[in-house]
Amino acid sequence: MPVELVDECAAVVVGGGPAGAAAALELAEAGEDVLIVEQSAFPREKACGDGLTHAAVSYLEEIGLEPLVEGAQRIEDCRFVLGHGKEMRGWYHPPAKLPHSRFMRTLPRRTMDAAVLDAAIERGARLLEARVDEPLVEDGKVVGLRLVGSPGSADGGVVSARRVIAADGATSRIRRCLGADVAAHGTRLYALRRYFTTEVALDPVFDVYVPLVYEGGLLAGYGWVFPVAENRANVGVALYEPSPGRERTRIRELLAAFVGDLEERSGERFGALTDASKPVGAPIATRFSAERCEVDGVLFAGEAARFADPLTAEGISFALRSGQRAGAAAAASLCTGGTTNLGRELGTSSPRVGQNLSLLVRLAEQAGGGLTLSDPVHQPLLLELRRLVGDAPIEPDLAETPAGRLLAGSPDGLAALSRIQASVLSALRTELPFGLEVLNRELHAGIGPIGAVTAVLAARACGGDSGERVEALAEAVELLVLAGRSQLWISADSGTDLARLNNGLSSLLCEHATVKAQAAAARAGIGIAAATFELSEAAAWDAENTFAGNISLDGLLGAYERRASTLALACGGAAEIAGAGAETVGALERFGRGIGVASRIAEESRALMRGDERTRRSPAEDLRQGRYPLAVVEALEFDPSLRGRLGEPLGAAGASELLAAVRAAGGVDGASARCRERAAAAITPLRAIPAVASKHLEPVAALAVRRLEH
Amino acid sequence: MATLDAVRQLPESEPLARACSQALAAAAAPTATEVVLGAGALGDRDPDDAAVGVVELVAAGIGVSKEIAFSPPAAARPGESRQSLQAAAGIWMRGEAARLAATLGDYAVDALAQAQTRIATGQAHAFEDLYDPARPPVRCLLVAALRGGALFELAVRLGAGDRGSGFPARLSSIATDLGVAAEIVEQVERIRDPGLAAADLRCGVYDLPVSNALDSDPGLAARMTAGLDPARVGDLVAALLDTRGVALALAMALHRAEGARLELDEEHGGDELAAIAQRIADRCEQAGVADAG
Repeated sequence: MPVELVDECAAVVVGGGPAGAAAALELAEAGEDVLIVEQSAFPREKACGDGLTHAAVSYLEEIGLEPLVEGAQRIEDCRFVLGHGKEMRGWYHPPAKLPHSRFMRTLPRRTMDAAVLDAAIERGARLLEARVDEPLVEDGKVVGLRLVGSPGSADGGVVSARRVIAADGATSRIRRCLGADVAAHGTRLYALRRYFTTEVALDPVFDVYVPLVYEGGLLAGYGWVFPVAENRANVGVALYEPSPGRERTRIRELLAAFVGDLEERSGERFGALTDASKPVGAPIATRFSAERCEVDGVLFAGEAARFADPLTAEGISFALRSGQRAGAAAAASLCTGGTTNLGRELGTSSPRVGQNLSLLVRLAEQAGGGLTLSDPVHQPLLLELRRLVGDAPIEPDLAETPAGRLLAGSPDGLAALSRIQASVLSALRTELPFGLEVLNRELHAGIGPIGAVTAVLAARACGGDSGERVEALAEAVELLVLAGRSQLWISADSGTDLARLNNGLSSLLCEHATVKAQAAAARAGIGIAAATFELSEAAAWDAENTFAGNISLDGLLGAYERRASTLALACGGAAEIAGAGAETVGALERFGRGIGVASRIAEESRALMRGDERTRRSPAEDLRQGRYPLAVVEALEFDPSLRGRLGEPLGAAGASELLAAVRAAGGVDGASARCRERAAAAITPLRAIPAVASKHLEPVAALAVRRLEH
Repeated sequence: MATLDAVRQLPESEPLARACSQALAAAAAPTATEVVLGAGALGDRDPDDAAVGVVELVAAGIGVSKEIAFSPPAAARPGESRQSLQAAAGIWMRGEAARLAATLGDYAVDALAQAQTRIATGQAHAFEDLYDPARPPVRCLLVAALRGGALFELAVRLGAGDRGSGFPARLSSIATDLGVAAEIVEQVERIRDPGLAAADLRCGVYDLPVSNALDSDPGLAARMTAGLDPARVGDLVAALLDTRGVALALAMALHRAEGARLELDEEHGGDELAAIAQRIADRCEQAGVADAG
């Protein structure tokens, strides 16, 4: 019997939720004929906390839904209620650059999803209400869909399309039909929510209860109370799927217990919870894998791509952005006939995911006052946390770091930096199931990828360009820097399981980074053994001189010199690749080393005085941890009596007092002067070398000093 | 080894040199070293000292990672920095291995890069699996292949020297099997040492013998998740040893060692490696594979 062709289009999108609608909207805006196949009549209910993060709010405003956003419940902060009752507020820090609204919002999915779908239809996307039976595959490529039970069309009718996007949710039928649903990789949460009317007006905050306390144990999951109106709340629980062999918790009973607990413990905040809606639940797929983003020509978006935050399960912004990117990728491939690289793009484009680990770990620490892996009450939570770290996509926007800004105005340089960044991330993402959070933090932290940027600029200064060898060198340098830093994260005291976990992760990250640096250096054709040796010597010196009351200026500067071997490598290697003579290579190496020392002095002084907001290091934290930067050692030159205050652990007050004494003794000024002196001494000789266009490297030298002044 | 000392550098920093020396001394390198030397006959040559040095450094690097990531928590006084120094030694030894490999040629550099990537991946998998009693035995075998298997494959490749058109897949497979067998035998020896077994169980390291035991007796798995009271670890070890977990692990090791030996008997110049395979098989037999039933 012939199969009825129901529709023929350039692209078909399976699923009309946020991911599918965003994909269709993008395709329609690109002028493509796009059909959305959706099985439900909109508006429809959806299990979700209804919370819109900044990323989601921004997207909705971008597509013209400002009035909807403006009318939605405003959210001004997050409040974490920890397992043992302690509360924390003030975690919410709006991004520095906000194109539109300052606030997060809540908006019932019933309303939001319909609005996004309408926006896609307004731009020309067509909607077919039908269920998909299976994808049609020809020569290993999906070319359309077979439908079932679609009103107004024959059973078994088909839709033919040049491009197929699957946005059909956590249990994606398309994925299963293509045999790409690998359960072992499909880490999931289960979420269940109900709406309640509250007796007391709600604060405009996201209330998060983490970890969940249930029947005397801590569960890997969290509860939430999100206001959707002044006296109406979305209340729910999300529970990570247990590891194989672990008993499953009944989520309905868990939600009931959570609500009961809320009324009992937080009665003053909410009052009685009444007028409950029906509970609505759904699985949430979180284990994103770049390799499984495109299967047999089908692009997956949203939860069908398992693209949700693996730790918080936040999925709306991920659905919208991944749908948008899938739509753009499909439109581009329809236009050019080329292939897409959606997986890699999504893998490096998701905001904020990795950063959440440190948040949860800190929460866990405070909740339990010292969680231990061997404690049966704590173990499930910590195991799940560790399991969930894997595959977290991240987006370090390196162009916005101080180092990255040195390449502003140079599209070639920024493109090279982007490629270098992608290589570094992919080197560590594909084989290392941990450490992405720290990697993300480090790529952002402080000055940014100064090694990579310096390599690119040094190549230019010597008349070369940032070709493949220079990029491989830059990758090696960044990985070596990361190896050195991760070594510093190893705590001397591994007396707790959390410290041990930290040390294990740091050590493995160090190992991976070193190994990958060597591989990248081999591609660049540059030897890095000498730099590696110097780095390890510097690391050993640091280790030996933690809490060292007898620390010396010469020793510390020597360690700085050795740690600066990475920048020396960046400059000397780039010069070598550019074909510079031995004398020029040597001069560039000396420049890199000098700038490396100056940068380190600046960064350490800055951290000592101001702390680090991103990593939440407080000022003087180095002093508490027994690490004495140059400012301290300079102060000893002026006031030797300060030495008696070194060598012992300090509390916060003691560290502040020591810092004040260091400043009073002129240590900070002394370190600043030495930083400027090193930066000047590094750049001056280069100006006299005709073969070197030092103008390219002047900004690198200036940056170190500027960091100091800021 | 005097000749090895001639090619191998140690750091100038005294504490770092001490950490490197300790790691090299503690590494279970003798067998891997023998494999390098034994593999020379495959290429009708005497292996370079640098090849031996590379393999010893890689083996020591594995030991350092294990020490940091898979040892029980230990409190330290301010200023003590054993693990930080060990990590620094790890960087140094990986750098030194790369330097020595470069003296051997591109084939050695490639072999080292591949081996180190696999080893690092194996360590990461092992770390991910800590405290997971549901970890299937096949996952333990994967880790053994990525760690011990990669080390032995590197030893054979460097021992046999540059083969020009690429290293034969068959030899890679044999070497990996040998490495897996050697690692399993070590795991059996650990679980039979009361002190080491208790330390491993308490810090969540469940190697193949334990994984087999848990797989065969779900009741034991429940005891693993219930926290390990130091006073009861001994009982748990005894219960694990009462299962067929150890025998099964040894059977898996023996199967690989004997398979490798048979293959090596057919290989030109494979006699010395076959003898090593036989010794590993003998260790399996002595460790009690005859009881496997």
